[in-house]
Amino acid sequence: MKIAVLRFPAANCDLDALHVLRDVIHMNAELVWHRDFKESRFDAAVLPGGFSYGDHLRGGVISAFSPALKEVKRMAKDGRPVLGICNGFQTLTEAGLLPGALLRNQSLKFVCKWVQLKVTTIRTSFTRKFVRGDVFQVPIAHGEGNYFIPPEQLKELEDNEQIVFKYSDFKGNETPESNPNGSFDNIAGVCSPEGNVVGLMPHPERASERILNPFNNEKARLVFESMKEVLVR
Amino acid sequence: MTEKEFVAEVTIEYKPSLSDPEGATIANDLMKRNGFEHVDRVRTAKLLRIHLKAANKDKAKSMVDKMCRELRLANPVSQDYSVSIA
Repeated sequence: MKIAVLRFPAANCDLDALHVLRDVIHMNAELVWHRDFKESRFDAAVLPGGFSYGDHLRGGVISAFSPALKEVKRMAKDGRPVLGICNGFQTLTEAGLLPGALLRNQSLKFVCKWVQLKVTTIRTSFTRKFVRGDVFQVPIAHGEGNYFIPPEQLKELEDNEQIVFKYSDFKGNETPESNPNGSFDNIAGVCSPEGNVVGLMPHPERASERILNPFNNEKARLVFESMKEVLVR
Repeated sequence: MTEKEFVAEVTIEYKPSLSDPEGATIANDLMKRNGFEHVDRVRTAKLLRIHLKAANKDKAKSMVDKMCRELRLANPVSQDYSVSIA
């Protein structure tokens, strides 16, 4: 079993993701430069955060045309787990692997803070170890995380259970105050129809160990533990 | 046939149904507050000025259109684009 962490120019948190996969959930993981990536060697892929290609034009759009994304599409198609975090989420939407788009934050500001996330479905490769409705804490750090989907497509997302994470308060209420960036319907993360491709703006790799987490928990680790369960079953 | 130089301008903006907080701030806090109260609204956009060679203007236009679609110069979910060529 081997997991690829894809490195694009101006990636960050790629080493954090690698650390969680290797040292926290004890999986075999490898950092791979995007131009060298071949899907045949890997069972899963993580597209980490960052500001690939300087976010020029739009976050993730230039990475979406990297040859690596053709490889990632093959993985997605045959059901292997693919996770996009922050810039990785933007890249997966720009590559057409996930629905919707990430707009500039409503406040026009870069927002860096801890938020509450509610798990709205446990059918995906990255949420199966949660309980539906779980609320956990995780940091965000982005300027273009304002999730948008045309209102007429929202029902389709809901019917297909493709909304995975929502911004909420500590009790799981989806309030305007708990929405850090203006995301439509408080949506923080979505999945492919099959549930093996998941993208989210927050950074679970920064919250997977107690020592990093001001709320003294490590619940975000379940994102990675869920993938591990899919891979080793 | 010799190719000529053209300059294409691609304007990329959010679809009208999406809010544009930057445009709203420019309209409300800069223009209306400083004596230009006839301003109704402002929408911001990104402009790409593309210098390219093509056999004629139509070919230049179709090449730029193709780039807009295939390279997602505009995000089809959230943005519209327009092309003008000189």
